[in-house]
Parts: sequence; C-alpha cells; structure tokens
Amino acid sequence: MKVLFVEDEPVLIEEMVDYFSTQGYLCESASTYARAEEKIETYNYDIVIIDIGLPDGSGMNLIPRVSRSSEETGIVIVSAKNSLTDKLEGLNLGADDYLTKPFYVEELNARLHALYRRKMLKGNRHIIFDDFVIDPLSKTLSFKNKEISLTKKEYQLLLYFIVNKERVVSKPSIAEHIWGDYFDQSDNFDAVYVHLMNLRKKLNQTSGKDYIKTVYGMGYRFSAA
Amino acid sequence: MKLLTKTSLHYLCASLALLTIFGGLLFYLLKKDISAEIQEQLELQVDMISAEIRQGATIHYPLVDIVKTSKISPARFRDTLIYDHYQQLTEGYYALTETKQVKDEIYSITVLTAYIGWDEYSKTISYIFLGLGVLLAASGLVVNLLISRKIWRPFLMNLAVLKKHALSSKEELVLTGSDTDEFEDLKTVLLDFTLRAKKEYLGLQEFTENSSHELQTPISIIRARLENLGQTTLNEQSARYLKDAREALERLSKVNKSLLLLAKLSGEHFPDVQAISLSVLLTEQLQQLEELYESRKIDLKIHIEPCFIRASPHLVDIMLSNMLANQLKHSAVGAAISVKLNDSLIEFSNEGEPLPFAESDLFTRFVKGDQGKAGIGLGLSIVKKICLVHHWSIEYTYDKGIHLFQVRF
Repeated sequence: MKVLFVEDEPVLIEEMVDYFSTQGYLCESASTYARAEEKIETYNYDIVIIDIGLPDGSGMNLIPRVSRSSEETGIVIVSAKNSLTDKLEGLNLGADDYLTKPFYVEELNARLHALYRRKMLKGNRHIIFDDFVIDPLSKTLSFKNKEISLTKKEYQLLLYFIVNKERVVSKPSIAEHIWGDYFDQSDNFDAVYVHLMNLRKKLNQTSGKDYIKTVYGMGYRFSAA
Repeated sequence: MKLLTKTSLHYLCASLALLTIFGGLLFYLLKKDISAEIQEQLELQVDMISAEIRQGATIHYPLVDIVKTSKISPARFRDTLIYDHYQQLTEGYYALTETKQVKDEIYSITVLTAYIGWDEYSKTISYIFLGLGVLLAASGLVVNLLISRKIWRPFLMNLAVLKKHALSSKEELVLTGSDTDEFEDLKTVLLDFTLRAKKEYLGLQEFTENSSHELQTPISIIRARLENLGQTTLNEQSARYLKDAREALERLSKVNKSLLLLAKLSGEHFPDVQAISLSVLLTEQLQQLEELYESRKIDLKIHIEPCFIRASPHLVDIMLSNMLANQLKHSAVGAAISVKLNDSLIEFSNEGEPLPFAESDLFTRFVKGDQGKAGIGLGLSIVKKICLVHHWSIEYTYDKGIHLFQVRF
C-alpha cells in the first residue's frame, strides 16, 4: 500500500513514516502545500493523509485535487482544530475519514486499514493470523472453520490488535478506539481490562496460545507468532 | 413594584397629606372666624339685653339666663353642652357670660347660641377633600398610564430585547430609539457597553480556542515520542517514569480537548442539528458501558420511552457519555443507578455521598470532589453548555442519598 503523509510537523512525519514503514506500507511525505500538490499530480497513492493546517495553504484545497487525479485514492484529513464544520466540509469535498490531533498512530493505522479494505479490497478479503480467520463483512472470528463468538467490543479490540500487531498499545489508545474521543472517561480503562481479559481467554481456550502480553506500565502487545 | 404603581402611590400619599393638612386648616380657620363672628353677635345680644333691663323690661328669652351678682367679672366665652329634648341628644352651644351694671344692680347675663351644625360642616369639608383626593389620584393614574404607553414604550421594548440577548450570540444588538433624552442616553450607553463586553468576550473565547489549538501540536509530538519510547525495552525505573509522563499527558490532552470544546460550544454554530432519536442514542451509550456496570455490580434500572428531539447528535453523544460516566464515577461498587427517558425529560440518578462542595459550584469548571477519582472536572460544565446550546434546562437535586440530574427538552 502506498501512502502519502502531508504534514508540516517534522516529528509527526518521522513518527508516522517510521511506524507505517514497519507495517509494510510504502511511505512518502510532504511538509508543504506546494510539495504535496506536486506529489499528488505526479504519483498515484492508495491513501493520502492530509493535515489541514499547512504553512502555505489549507489542506482542504488538496482534497479535490487528489480526487481528480485518482478516484480510487482514499483520503484521511487530520486537524488540530476538532471543528465539526471542518469535518463536514472535508467529508463533503470527498475525504473518507477525519481524525483530530492528537491521535494515536495505532488509531490512524486502524482507520487506514479499514479504509483500504473498504476501498481497494471492497471489504471482502478475510484477515488471517495463524489458524484464525476474521471475516470483516460478517464481523466474525473462526478458528479452523469453527466460529468463536465475540462481543462487539471484543471484535473491535481484536481487530485493533491485529492491525497493530507487535506494537505495545496503551490503555487510553484502546479506550479511545472503542469508546470514541469522548471526555472524562478514565473509568473506561477498567473496561479495557475486562474486555481484554475476556478476549485473551477466548483466544487462549481455542488455540492454546497466549496472544496478548501485558507490558508493565505501558499497555498490551499482540503477537501472532 | 412597578414604576407606575410606585409613582402613583407616592402621588396619592402626597395628595392625601396635602389635602388633610389644608382640609384641617380650612376647618380651623373657618371655625375661628365664625366663632369670632358669633362672639360678636352674642356680645351684641348681651348689650341689647342690658339695654332692655335698663328700660325696666322683664327679660324672659329662651337661652338667656340673668342672675344678680355682687361683683363685676370679665366676660367669658366658652363652649357648653345642652340636652336637646327633640333630638334626644346633647348638643354643643356657645355661651357668653358677661357682667353688666344696670343702674345700681350688677347682672350676670349668659347668652347661648347653637353650634349651627359644626359636625355637618366638618363632614362636608372632609367629603369634598376626600373626593378631590380620589379624583386627583385617579387623574394622575390615567395620565401616568397614557404616558407610560407612549413614553415608556421604547424603554420596555429595549428591556425585552436585552432580556433575550446573549453576549455570546453573533447577532448585533438592535435597540429602539426614543425622543426622551434619558432613554436615548441609556440606549447609547447600553449599545456601547454591550459592544465592549462582546469584544472582550469574543477575545477571551478566541484566546481559549487559539491557545488550546496551539497546544494540540506539541501534545501530539510529545505523545508520539512517548508512545515510541514505550515500544523500546525499558528498565523498571524508566518504565515508571514513562508511565507517569504518559498519564499526565493524557490528562493534559483531555483537558485541552475539553476546553476547546467548551470554547466552541460558546461560539460555533453546530451544523449537524437534525431530528434524532434520543432513545436510540441512549441505548447505544448504555450498551457501551454494559461490562462496566457488570464489573462494578451496579444495580442498574433503565426505563426508556421513545423520544425524538432536534439536536446535534455529536453533542448529544458527548452529553450522554459525560452524564453516564459521571454517574458511574461517583457510584460505589453495588450502588443503585437509574436512567429514565420519556418524551420531554431525561433523568440520571445514583446513590452516593452528598457533594463535598457547594451545589452552586457543581457545573463550574474544574470543581471536583475526591481528587483520587480524578476526573478532569470539565464534564458537567460541558453538559451544561450543551444544554444551553439546545435551550434545555438542567437541574440537580440531592435527596435521601440520591443524586438526581434532570434535563428537560
């Protein structure tokens, strides 16, 4: 998958490019409106991530340009403004998703995956790890053709882990993914733990393997190996 | 008390006082004059009687009393009471007693004359003055009413406009002009005042929004770096430092996002207002928390009736999740929680200790109870603002160990 990051903050570019490269994405970046415009005109990307606040122009204006050069390209807008008006405007212009800064790279990764499956794979490819198969259409998990019942949240959690496998994912990152970007919900950290333990048990009971490891003070890591 | 009532009352009091004083004065002067006149008349009568005695006539007049006496004493004019057979009551009379020397004899002559109905006089005077008072008051009232209709109109209209006007609204304040100087001055001052207040308000809001906005990027950078650091293998001490730093950053990020939202709630127009089913949104939110209720062994009572409102789903979601999170946060294990919804009201109640701070501070920013339970202290301010944006009322009561929040649409 080929991804273009349009972002003026060098540290954020570095972090995103670093992480997404390890995830097997082909990453490119542009730190100004002009550079981004040039790249969009010249190359084809599967997904473009656009920060709205660029030093030499509004990322908003890049959206129609991307759509014009390739209809297939998925567009995710990133903004520090958390403005509903911006969000609606961006989605109207043809963006597929909207994310507010500060975000977790895992969350962006999950969004990219979902977008990629929806747009490029039309949602019909199964996700496989070891002997487990996830069907994103019916949102089910099976082990050697036997279905394992998961709650909606366990399913979301599992997908989040698989997309971000081998990465230590923190509790707030998980909470934000499952419950959304709401406020004042430190309570949900307990719920993260509850869901996590249930999911871990279910995976363990069917396969005999412990996929989810606790990393002290940091969060949890999912390893398929 | 209304201005009109107040001025009318004052006017009435003043009229009554003046009328009473002048009525009394009139009565007193009248009585004095008439008494003097009567005294003269009685003196004349005494003179005439003594003249008659001098001529040797026998005096037998009613209300005249003549006695022989031995010494001359000064004349005495006084009031006296005499019983009246006809009316069967005692009546007031003037009496003049004078001693006169006729030839060698000294006579004490007393003549009397009736008060000629002083009571009636005083009554008549009182009635006339009372009538005058009432008429003055009534005419004053009518004039006032007519004046207030016309002259006070711009003032009352402006008052109505001001009552409805919010500093946070983007609409300009439009006030009605008047040909009364004072009202025109008031209008100018008010317009100037609101303009300045508005400017300051917007400035403050802009400042909050801008500073929160500016903080988002550094927070993003710190978070990205810390998350990355978390991927590396750390010794126990470093891991602890990192954990603390991350938790603090998480908090900072939430506070900042909330402040940004609060600033937006004051200013921004919410473009996604639409008809939504509150019952559906609430059910979804409750499902999100299902496991938490279970793990905390909460005695949960839910009663949801269909409810459709016009609102921003984005904001309603935030409001519901804040209310539910607040409820849960302040409930002990096994406590009772209840959520009720009907077509005009949503209620959140939970068992718990009384508030550790004043009830009036409940919706104030950064007021929170137990630090250990560490919310960021903005949840309820946000809820209140969201209610304000939608013109809903929110009330809090605490009774018999139950905290109750009611939002009416």
